Amino acid sequence: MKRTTDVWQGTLALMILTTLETMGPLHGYGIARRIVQRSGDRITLNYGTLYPALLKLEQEGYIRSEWGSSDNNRKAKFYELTRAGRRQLSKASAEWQRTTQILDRFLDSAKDVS
Amino acid sequence: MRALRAWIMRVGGVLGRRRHERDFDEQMQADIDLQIEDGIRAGLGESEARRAALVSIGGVAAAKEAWRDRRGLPVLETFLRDVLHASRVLRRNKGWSAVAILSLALGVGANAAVFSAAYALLLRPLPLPDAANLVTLRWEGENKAWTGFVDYGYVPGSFGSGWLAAQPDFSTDALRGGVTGAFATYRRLDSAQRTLTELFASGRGPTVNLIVDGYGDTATSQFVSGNYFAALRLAPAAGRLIQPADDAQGAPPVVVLSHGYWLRRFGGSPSVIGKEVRINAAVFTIVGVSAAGLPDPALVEPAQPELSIPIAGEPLFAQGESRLEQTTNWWLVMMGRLRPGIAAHQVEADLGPLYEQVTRDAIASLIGSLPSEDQQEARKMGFGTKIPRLRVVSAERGAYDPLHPALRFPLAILGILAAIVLLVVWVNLGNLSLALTTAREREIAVRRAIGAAPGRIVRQVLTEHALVAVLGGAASLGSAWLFQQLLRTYFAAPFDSAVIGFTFAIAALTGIVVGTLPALRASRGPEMPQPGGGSSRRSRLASGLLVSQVVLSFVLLIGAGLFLRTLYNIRAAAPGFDAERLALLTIDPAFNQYDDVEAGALYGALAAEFKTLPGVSSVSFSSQALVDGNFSQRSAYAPETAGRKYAAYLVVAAPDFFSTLGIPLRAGRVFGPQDPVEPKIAVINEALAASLFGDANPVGRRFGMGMEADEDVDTEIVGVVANTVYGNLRTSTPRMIFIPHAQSAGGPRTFQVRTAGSPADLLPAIKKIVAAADSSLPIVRLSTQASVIESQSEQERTIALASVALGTLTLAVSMIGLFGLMSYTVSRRTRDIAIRMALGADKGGVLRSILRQGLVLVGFGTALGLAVALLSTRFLAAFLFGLAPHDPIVLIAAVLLMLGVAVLAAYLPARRAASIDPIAALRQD
Repeated sequence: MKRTTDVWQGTLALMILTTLETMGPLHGYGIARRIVQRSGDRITLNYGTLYPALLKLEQEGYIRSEWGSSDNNRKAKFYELTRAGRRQLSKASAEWQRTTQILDRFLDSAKDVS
Repeated sequence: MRALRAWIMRVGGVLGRRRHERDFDEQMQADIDLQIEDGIRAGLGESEARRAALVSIGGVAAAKEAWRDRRGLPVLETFLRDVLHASRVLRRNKGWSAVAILSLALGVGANAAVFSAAYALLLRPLPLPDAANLVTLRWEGENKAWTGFVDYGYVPGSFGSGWLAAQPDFSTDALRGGVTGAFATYRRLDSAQRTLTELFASGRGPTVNLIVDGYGDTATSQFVSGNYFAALRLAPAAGRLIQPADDAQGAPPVVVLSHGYWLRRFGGSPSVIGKEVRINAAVFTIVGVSAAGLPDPALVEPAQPELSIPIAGEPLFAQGESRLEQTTNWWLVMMGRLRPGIAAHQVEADLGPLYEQVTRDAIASLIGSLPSEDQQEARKMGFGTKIPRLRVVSAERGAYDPLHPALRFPLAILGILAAIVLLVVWVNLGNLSLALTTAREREIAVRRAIGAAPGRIVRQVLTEHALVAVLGGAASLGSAWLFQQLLRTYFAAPFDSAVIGFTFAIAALTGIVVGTLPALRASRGPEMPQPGGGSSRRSRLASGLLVSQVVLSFVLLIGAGLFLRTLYNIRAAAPGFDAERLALLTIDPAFNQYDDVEAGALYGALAAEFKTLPGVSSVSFSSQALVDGNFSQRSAYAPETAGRKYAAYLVVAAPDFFSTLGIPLRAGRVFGPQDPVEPKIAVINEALAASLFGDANPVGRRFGMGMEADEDVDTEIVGVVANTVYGNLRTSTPRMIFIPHAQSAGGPRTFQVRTAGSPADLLPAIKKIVAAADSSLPIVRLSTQASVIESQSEQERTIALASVALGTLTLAVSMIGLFGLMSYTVSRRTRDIAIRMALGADKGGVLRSILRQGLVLVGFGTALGLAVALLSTRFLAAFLFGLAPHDPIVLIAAVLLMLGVAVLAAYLPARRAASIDPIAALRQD
């Protein structure tokens, strides 16, 4: 059985924003599917986590939603990035990278000492 | 910023909940469908695809709950739902809510009104700039250095035993917070002090006649030092205020009007500034008007006196020696402003030794100047032995002493009464809400059964009480205002934010106190029915609350009955003369420097003019109006009384007095125009005649009357008249002495004008006649005898009204408490009663048993209340009239009323118990 991880709230927001940037407007199921695929099925995502996260981003004004039609003409609610969302994405991903770099370096140096 | 935006969205999310939820349902359904479609495309069967989709979603309800929590603010939402539910509960129980809110309003309103009085008197800083560094100078300890009344100066040689004995006892500190010292003391302290930027003084002056453009009017006055207004940092409303130069000897006399007097008399006209006016006999210039709404910082008065005059002007008003010359006549209140960095106790150290020395020297030099006989008398009285100490205290909140008995006592009484009322209200509300939660036991049980957490139910019940508290708090503002109007006569206080805040604080406290118990009980869930119908803890508590309520409301009921009968008795008291259709006019010619001869001529002229008015049948005058609250007492004695003296009241009367008032003559004659100045004659009433001479005919006999000292038995009785009331209606048959105007000419006089029509219609014509005779003579009183009597029972009416309102409301509320308790008992014992009925008990028996249960509680409370009332009402004796504190009629009526209302309140639940259908009731559970 494959190891799966529950996703963190903070990183989930970043994942949603990234997904919407690369994929363009997408419905809730599409976002979930894309995130799970990109993680190589290493994380599980249930709607009890996803929907509140989407709602939070929407309340913060980073994404907006509207009803639209899917590829095969099904009605669904689509999310897309706002301008504030794009700014937030670049800011947050830069921050995330800086954090992981620092952490990597820290963990590496710890390895050297031992 | 983003967090704020999200928060605002969430608050907004509380609204339009239904629309949002539908939208979300559709969204989720659409996502699920997409996923199923995906699954089918990947080769799964339809049902398999659906199963996979639902598994990955992880529970539709849980997802929806998580979304819902994020969408709005759960706390706010629950709260709003609680409030909505609570308001539904209150609406459903309208009677309950009305009584709860009303009783809350009563209890809280009374407390808020008392608080506002206490706050205004003791806590509110004076509305003056830099009030924090104001101090007042007081004396403390025993005082045997103060000889003068404020109004009576020392006249050498007047130290008789009687005069000295009439001095108030200053040896206790009962008058603490009053005056600081004599004028000479002020001068010495002012020139020596180094700790204050200013030391200033003020003292009460006489009521004077202010004559402007030839028209007179009375005004109250105060004398102030030249730096008084500057030291208080006051700006004038018009013109200028008194300055140090005005307070120098020989300075032209000036006067400053209070703002209220300026508006009342001159309509706020600036043209009076600079006007030359007369105050009594002296010419003054009006230089300005003091600011509006100014309190009197020194005296226990709600407002500044109407006229402020420099202290240097005092000799212009002195009759005899000026108060400025009297070194032991204490009449000035001294206050000061602290220099920066100086504390009040440093002022004490600075001035204390000098204060004591000046005081000691003054009394010693006064005693030394007396004739040796008076010196011995004064020493025997202890004068000069006890010199008080100087105390300097902050006057930031006014010069009032918070411990002054004159303030402490009534405030304490009011505070205790208000607290008792609040306690009754708490007990009432406690029982009411117990009844309400009990009645809703089934509803609460259902809510618990379907999963409401105990905390949720506690919150719900607390919200209901909070809602009652808020509504009651709002209603309390109205009742607080009403109570304040009732208290206005005794304590004037503004209705401001402090009062409003206090009102809501008390209301909220009440909500919490009353709501906590039922809330906790409700959360514990319904009690298990107890075998054998044994009383549960809850019903024991309810019974205890009910009994204490009955006790309190019964005591209040008796109080209300006593005060109501007192009012009735006073209203029904026959004055002994015909008080209807009598107009009254009081003047004091001394205000315009009339001597006795001139005054006599004026009286004659006025009486003749009044008689020409249409409908007037007779006119007379006397030293005072009957029943106007004034008392002039004498001691009456005769050889026949063997040394015994009787207190009797004096009226100086014109010859027509008795016929105008309709007082019947019993023996001898009344006065006539021929009565000479000597020998002394008098008419007495039957009560005095009986005391002095028993059944013997008093006409032609002699008696004596004095204030303190024995005088000769030199007054001949020429007639006896029927008994009447005197200064008030309470003393039903006072002993009275009438002496002719010709033999005691001085002082104010009140005219009685008897008319066939309405006396009130006559007043303008009377005023016109006085103005025509002397426009600069002030009118002291223009009224009717009926309204003068009416105003004498004002206090009784207020007390009766308040106690009846209080008694009725607490009775009503405790009877609703009884109704609630009995309803609860019946609903709890439905099964029990049904079994008994099924076993053959008849309806009457059930009815009687429930009624009996209620009446036993009320009877117990009434008996207890009767005992409390018998012990406590004797303290009311002084306020009662025409009945004893244990008046049997009142007691019996109160018991009957209590039990009668209790039967009514218990009957409805008892009837419901009797109409229980045993079969239906037993099937129900």
